Amino acid sequence: MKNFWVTLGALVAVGLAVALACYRWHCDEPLHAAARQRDALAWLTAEYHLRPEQAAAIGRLHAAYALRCAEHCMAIGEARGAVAQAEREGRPASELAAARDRVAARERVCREAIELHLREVASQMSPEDGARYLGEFLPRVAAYRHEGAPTVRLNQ
Amino acid sequence: MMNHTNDPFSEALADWRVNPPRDPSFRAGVWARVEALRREPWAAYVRRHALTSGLALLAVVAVGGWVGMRQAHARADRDRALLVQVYLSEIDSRLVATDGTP
Repeated sequence: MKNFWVTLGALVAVGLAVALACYRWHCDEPLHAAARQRDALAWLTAEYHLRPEQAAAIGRLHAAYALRCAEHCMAIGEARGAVAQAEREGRPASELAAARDRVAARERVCREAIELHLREVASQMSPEDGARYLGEFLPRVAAYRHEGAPTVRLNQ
Repeated sequence: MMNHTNDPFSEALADWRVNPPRDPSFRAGVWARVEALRREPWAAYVRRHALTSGLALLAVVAVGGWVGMRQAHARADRDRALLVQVYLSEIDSRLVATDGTP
């Protein structure tokens, strides 16, 4: 009976060792490192096989876009603030609708700017990777919510 | 019900007597075999169950490999989803902008 338990223990040990080895073998270390550091550019570099000069060009595009993004962010914040204020003050429906239209217009400008930025980034990649990149992100930008606010998922 | 009164087969069975020769070492022999199994080296035990052990080893390697691979892919999927959201939150002002509530 002792030999049976020894055999069973050895089999379990072999199974765990094989599972660990396969886990390590299939692990995508650059991806995990980028996730640990919340480094989206490092992930883009690994995921879309960017050469250093491509990554640098995309980094410059991101830096330039960040300024426009901040402007859009401020404009959308102001427009949303106006809606919130109109709701608090019980303004007429027409005024509220106009305020909401301004939010929608600024969000549309923002979405168009994002899509343009995504296409500029994709143009720096190989055609295959660029198409895959656009296929990943354009629908998400169009869908807007991106499966919830990032902070919610980050805490999971 | 069948009537066995005149059945020659039943009569033969009724007359049959088994008289096995006595074996005074039978009990000791059984215990000796039990003891031998108890002291059997592990390698000999595995060789004696070579087919079962081999099949179990194959199954364990296959299941272990599959589980390890699935866990790695699941982790990659989680990390990729996280990074997609991080990236989008960096470029999408609509997510970053406040909702206007004080």
